[in-house]
Amino acid sequence: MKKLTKEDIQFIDTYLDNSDVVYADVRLEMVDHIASDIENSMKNGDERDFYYIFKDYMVNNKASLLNNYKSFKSKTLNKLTLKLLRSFLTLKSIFLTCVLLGLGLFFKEHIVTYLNEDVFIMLWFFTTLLVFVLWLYSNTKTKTRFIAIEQLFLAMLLLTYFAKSAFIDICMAVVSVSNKDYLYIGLLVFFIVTWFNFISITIKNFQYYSNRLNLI
Amino acid sequence: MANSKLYKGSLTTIILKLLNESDKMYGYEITQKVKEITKGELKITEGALYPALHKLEADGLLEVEMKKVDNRLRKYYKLTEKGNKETVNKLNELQEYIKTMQILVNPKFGLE
Repeated sequence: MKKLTKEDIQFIDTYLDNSDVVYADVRLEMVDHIASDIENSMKNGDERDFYYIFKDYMVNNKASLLNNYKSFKSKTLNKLTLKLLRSFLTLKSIFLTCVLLGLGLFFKEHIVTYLNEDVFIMLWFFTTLLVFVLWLYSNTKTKTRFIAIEQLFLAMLLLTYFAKSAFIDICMAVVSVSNKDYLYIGLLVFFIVTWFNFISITIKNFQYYSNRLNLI
Repeated sequence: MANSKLYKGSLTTIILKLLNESDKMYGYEITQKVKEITKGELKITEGALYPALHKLEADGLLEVEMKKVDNRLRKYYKLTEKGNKETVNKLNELQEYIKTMQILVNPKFGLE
């Protein structure tokens, strides 16, 4: 049975990469699917060159392939955002939240003198910057992009942005001045616990790609 | 997938059943196996198959194994212990469903 050459496989991979299928873990499964289908056509008597069979495959399937990819990408983002939120319900997170809230309330008078709306805006910018640095580091280290890692970065940015906006723009407008200190401590604890959960999920994702899939 | 509305709910069971019968399978192999068994009546699209496989993997019912085959990487799926148990449950559920449907659609020639 005729098999595709290394160059043919590279051609499919590059074609998909150029068609915005940027995540290597998703692409490798697509490449195998397309290559298997082309080899199947050859086995069933199609004697044309690889290029012509590939072209026909893409004419018939490109739109649905790319639509499925886009929908998979957005579903992954939703799933990871939920995972990040659900991670607040783990024992470790609950314990950390309780300890931090306890400490925050105990040292309230000292802490709140340093907290104000600008600090949280800075904190969100700092979060964005750190996520960007992590993204750069991950891209440099692995030289590939993985869907679960990148979409988690995006989920982290969206979640912290939403929290910052909700706390500052909405809660601050309706909460009385005397209760603002509690809100500041709550938001600070939320940021710290989110970072803790984000880092532990990111490590698990890297371990998945490295130990289970052997892609790193 | 042909008659997608009717088959959609059974996709997970179909995948689990196929994996239960073989050691491990890759995505394209699953689509071809289904096509072969159903004589072309049921065609699983990649848009339906891969999200289902990824969900089963995330739920701990499947585990993956990467292998370099024919100049490319291939992702094989196989059942976990939890997956084996779930396959039995899903197949029982499906059999019950078929029995009920048969009674409803064709009461005279029902199984009971």
